[in-house]
Amino acid sequence: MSDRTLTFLREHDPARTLAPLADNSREELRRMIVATTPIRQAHRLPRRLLAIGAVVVLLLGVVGAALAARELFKSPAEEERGLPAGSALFIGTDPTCTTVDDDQFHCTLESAPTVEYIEGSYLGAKMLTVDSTKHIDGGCIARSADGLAWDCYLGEAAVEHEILVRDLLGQYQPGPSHG
Amino acid sequence: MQCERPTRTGSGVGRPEERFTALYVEQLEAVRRYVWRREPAACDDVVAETFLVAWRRLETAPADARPWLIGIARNVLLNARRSARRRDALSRRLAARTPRIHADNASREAELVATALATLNEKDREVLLLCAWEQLDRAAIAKVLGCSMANVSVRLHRARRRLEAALADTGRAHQALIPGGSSDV
Repeated sequence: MSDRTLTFLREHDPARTLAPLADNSREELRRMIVATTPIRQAHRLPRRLLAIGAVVVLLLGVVGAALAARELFKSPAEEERGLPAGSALFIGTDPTCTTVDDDQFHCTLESAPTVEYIEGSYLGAKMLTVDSTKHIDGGCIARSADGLAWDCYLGEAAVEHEILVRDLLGQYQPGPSHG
Repeated sequence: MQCERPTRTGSGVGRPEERFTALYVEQLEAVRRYVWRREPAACDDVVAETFLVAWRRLETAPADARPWLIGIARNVLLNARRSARRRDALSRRLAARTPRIHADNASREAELVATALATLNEKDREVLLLCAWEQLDRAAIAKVLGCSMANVSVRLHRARRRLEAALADTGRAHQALIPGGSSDV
């Protein structure tokens, strides 16, 4: 493989003339950043609440199982609403879904996630969805690195794709899940 | 010359602020250069946002933090470009993902490089520049882009060939710019 191409590119690196940030600017930026609250701390409470909620709902397993066992039907418009209602990552992304099968949709996001997002590739990321009554009814898997394309599954199909465990199906989730 | 492994940054132990400061001091200029090469007008904002995300996700910082930070910077940059596309009439300028060669740097050769790079698709170009300018090795590039090393190798191979062809196709003498001209890859 040609090393000359890399050498040539390095000789024309536009950042060769970039001066280092001044010490005072660098320190000011550092102080501003460390003065903010790490988001992980801010997210601890909702995650704990979600975990507690999951335990409570597990106690209502019979109800959950009954909901999970029912036949799931959902329109693309309902699925589009179920994405941001199920997972905070989809908030503000304006998804458009098309039906692939009785229990499968393909959803495309108009804009990349910003409320919550993933560094690096989204490929394989898994998110929950809910139905119109805020019960978990399935989930989605990211099919593109930029997080704009998702395959979403309902009920058992979501379990088969290892998006969620069966016990979660039908559980009440009052707000979108985080993280 | 091959893609080089950057020095490792120890995220290690210590208080979060100390760990962050160590990472910040070691990697700030590398991240600044990465962003400045691609979007100089938004450099300060993107760098600040990148390290803010890094601070918030410090628990997940790997020992070799540079690919991780560049991956964050890349996402911040992409999100900024998407927002800008919607927000204002400068969208076309911001949407152009070709790395810019600045006016004070705009020699004939620099223009040639920019023109040739613009002929590559975005991902091939990014692989090539991560190798040439950020001097990341293939494993690190794969981490930045979220793809496999095999995919990086294929893209790098293809990007080099296409860049050499594009340089030759500009009508200027590639031979004069790169001694020895195009070569086997």
